[in-house]
Amino acid sequence: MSHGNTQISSLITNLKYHRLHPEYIHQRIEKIQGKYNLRILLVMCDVGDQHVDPIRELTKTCLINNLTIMVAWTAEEAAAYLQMYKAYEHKSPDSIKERVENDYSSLLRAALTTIKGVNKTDVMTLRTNFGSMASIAAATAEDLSLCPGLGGVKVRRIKDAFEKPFRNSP
Amino acid sequence: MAASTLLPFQKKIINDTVDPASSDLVLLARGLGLRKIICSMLQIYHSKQNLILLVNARPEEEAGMGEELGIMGVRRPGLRIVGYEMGKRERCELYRKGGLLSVTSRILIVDMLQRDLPVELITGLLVLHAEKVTPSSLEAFIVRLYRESNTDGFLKAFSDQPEFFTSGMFPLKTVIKELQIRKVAIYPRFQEDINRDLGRRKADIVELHQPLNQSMQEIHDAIVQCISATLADLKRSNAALDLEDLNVENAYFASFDSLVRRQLDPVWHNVGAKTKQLANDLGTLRRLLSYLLSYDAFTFHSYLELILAANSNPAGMKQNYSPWLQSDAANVIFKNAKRRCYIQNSQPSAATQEERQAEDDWAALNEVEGGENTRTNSTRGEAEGWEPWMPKGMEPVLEELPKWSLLAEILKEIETDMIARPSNPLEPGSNAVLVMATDNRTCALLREFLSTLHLSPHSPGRHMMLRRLQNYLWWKPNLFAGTNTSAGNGDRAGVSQGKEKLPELSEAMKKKDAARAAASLNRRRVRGGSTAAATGGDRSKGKEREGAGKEVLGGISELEMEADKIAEFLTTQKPPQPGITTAGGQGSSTASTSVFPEGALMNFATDFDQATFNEHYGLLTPDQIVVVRPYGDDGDDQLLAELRPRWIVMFDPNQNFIRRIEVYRSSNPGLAVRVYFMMHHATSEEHKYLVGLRREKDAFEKLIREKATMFITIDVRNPEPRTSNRIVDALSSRNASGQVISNEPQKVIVDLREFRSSLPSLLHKERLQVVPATLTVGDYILTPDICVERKSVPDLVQSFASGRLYSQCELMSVHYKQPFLLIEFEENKSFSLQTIAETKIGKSAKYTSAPQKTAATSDRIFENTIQSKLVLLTLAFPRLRIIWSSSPYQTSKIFADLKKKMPEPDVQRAIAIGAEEEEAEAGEINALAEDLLRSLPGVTTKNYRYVMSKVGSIKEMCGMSLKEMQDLLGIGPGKKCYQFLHHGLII
Repeated sequence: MSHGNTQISSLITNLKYHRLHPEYIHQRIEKIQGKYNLRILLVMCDVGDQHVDPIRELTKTCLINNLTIMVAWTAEEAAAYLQMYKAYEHKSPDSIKERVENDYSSLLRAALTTIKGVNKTDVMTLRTNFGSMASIAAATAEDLSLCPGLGGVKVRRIKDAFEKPFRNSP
Repeated sequence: MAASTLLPFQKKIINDTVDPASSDLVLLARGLGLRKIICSMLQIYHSKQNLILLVNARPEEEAGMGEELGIMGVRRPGLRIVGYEMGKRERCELYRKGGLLSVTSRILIVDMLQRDLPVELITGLLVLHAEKVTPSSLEAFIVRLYRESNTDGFLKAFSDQPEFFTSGMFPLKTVIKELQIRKVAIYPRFQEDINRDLGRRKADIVELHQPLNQSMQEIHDAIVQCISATLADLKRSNAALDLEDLNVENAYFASFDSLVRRQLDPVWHNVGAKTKQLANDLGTLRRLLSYLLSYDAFTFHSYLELILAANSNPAGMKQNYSPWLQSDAANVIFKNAKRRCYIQNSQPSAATQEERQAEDDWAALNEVEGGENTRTNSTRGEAEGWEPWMPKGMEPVLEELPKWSLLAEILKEIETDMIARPSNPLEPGSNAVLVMATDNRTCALLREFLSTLHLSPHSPGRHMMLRRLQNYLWWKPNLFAGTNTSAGNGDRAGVSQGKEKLPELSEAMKKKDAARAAASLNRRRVRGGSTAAATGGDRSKGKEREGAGKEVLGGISELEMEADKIAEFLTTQKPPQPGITTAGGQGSSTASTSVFPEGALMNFATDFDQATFNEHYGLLTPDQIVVVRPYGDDGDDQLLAELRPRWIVMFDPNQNFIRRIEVYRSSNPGLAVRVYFMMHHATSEEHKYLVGLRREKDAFEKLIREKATMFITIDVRNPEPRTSNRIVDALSSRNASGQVISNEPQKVIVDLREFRSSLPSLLHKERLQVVPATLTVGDYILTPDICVERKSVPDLVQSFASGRLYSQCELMSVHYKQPFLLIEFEENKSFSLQTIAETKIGKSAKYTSAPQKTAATSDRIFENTIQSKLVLLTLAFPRLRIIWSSSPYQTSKIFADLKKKMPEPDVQRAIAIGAEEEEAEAGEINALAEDLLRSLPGVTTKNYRYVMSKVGSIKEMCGMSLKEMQDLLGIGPGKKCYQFLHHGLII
């Protein structure tokens, strides 16, 4: 159950099998020792609630043997992982790097929803009533609490996020 | 003074629990003066020799208790509050000096772990909100640390939420175990002593059951209908749901959401996006129901429009609409909500501007000919309350809430009463009238209502509602500012910016607006056909013909058009009087209210026009005072004691406050209090009130039974010695023979902000030594080589989307040999990533993908999923290991496992890694502000710490000039950030 090329190697096991034959995976790991740049252990979690101990044990094994665990829950997901490793081998990681978005709406939504309890309707409320972040920052708690949907708790959280200092004095 | 007003049952509770030799849990019914009891106990403990810590108090409670203690004479130093704003040195000083301290849990735990607070010196701990002390909570961690090295101190825990113990996840027994307490005292309202003390004098309560008016009743019924339809949908799509508790009645309560979530959590990965949407909708609908009864017609209507707007997806992405939005009932809601505000007549729309011109010509002609049919919209409109500043064709309805006029009547009655029965100076109590309502918003509304009701004698709320309409007209165009072209964007935001900008609304801007209006006009024409029918004259008829469900969705474009129209109309208007367009701040600057800048006091007996200077600016005698206040917690007792009102109007029902009045009356013998109790008849409000009463009673009865049969098996006196087990463990493990076993406990270095999660507490339970530190790289350092970044599933999704995770992994890879990404699922939730594959990445792109069908299609489906991003991440960082953990419990076990036979990490080194010199000595962090900061454009993983060391707060950042911002972040990012913060304003 191994698929590999010069760069990546992946081993697959499912937890049902692993519980019956725990030695199997160790033998396989030994065989690929030191050969590949990235070595993946793809674990299929198919044992319901009984996953706790085997996963913990495999995590330790992988630490010692320099493997990275990926967990899939269905055969389809596991297959997709393999396909993706094959397909993405030379793909650049740009899509997961930090980047600057330009769409104001999504930026504003992303920013304001970091405040717990603020949902997309509230973002709309804040935007239509105040316009910009700077104006929200300048609004008083009373101004905020007059907006529909913004109750006391939300207003306090918004105020805390905007006004309380990042850090105290050491 | 306050101590003398304690009722016998309160004294008894204090006597029974105050003993510093024992540890107790006190469970008291709400409204019976828990704060007073706690303060009296604090007063007894207050001494320099004692170090008493108050834990788990909310900020407003800390302040309230400090004040109350001050009144009771506990000053110098009294209760001090330790929050994160306080520096470390100052804190240590306070701990050493002793006295009464209220400490934020997150700070307390760190100080205990770092030994800044000598735990042995603590005399006692007072834990508020004991119902929140769950096994994974910080408070439980605090108690554990406390008991570990201090068995002589006492611990008193308090709670006034019996329902939490019976309906929550953690029964009384668990809480008691976590608190390591053996004595529990339960005091319900029906307890014998309490009943005797309060029942002595019967209350003079006038109950007023106000029926809803017809349109509100229709909306109310329609919302209930939506709720039951949504519930039925939910049940149909999930066989696993326990149907017993899921009925419409329970859906009125906020606890219902968690009830549904708890039932769905174990199968959350199997439920479709639809179910999640439905569960969400129930919350929205429940809020709508309460907003209907408390918001004025315009605010309610605009909230509905916001919901509609937020549900329309500007990017044109495929999106599931909430099913209720498509139902007939929703149509009833939207239609009626609008009709409560105004009626849009066959108005001259933008599309018919030229035609109108022509019409006018014809009209002029007709007039010349002496024709009769020249009565245009405007003249007819004026007859029905049309004002010159309204758009043509808008017929204001301005429906008022039925309780408002009732309140006006009551106040009139009280006034007559006051005159008929002048107060005897020897009699206790003042002539002030106390009006209590649910929240600040309602209070602000009532204050405005009361201060303007004399301006329009026939319909008391009219003046206020007209102002609401004005505000609404100015707000409306902003609603779709975001969905239009970016060019138009700025202008609109500028318009909304209102206040100062509007008067200088330049000609150029007007032209732009006109141009845009023309553009939108073209757009409309292009749409043609069916939509054309919805515009203009026969629009209302078109409505009837279209399917009801369709119409609400079509309502988006309709809304948009309306917004356009109003915007266009506004440009033709003169700038409004100042004070009317304040963004959201509904006219607190009109003459009558500004007399009382606090807004809390209002004189309605006097006519302002003839008022003398003294009446405006002098002190008011209590006779003339009407105080409007929101229900607060135990702070209300203080309010009653200070104001001593003889008339109380309860605008919204509140069971706790009725008890407070009982206590107030009983502790003021000879005081005649009349209470007016207002409730909407046959509504969710009434139902909630009645069920609330029953629930509390049931909860108490259940707890009393539970207590009788409870068997607690903790021995507080003998905490297990730490470290010993660990050595035994190590010895007994197979390969231990060759290892050197140190007697030192195993250390894990934990970043300070991780104390928001439950993992540090559980690590401590796993017998690892938790060392708090401010880390720049990673969240947990297990060994000199292992560094772990913890991500909960939502965090993972978010930090992939922002790219933060990539940068964090980059940093970890540079500084550590074995960087780990910990993906931590939540306990009781499904341990599977499928759920994310289904809900898709990020908040903006929800509900788009279908569950995968075959392996062949899965590749395409998995594109841009969390899984694909993980693949990219592992490819980019081959050394990165991943820990998959189903819960924090499992994580703590895995950590312990990974640490076995590994060297210990070095704290100083861990702190120094990646940190820049300027910020080495950083204090506590405001997590909310930090998260917000990191979401700003131009702020990255690499520079946010620098920003935090240079700038005080987000607000301060908003006040920076472009130049300052660029100095801080660099030319490009600085500009980006500046433009984002000041979007829509002229740069």
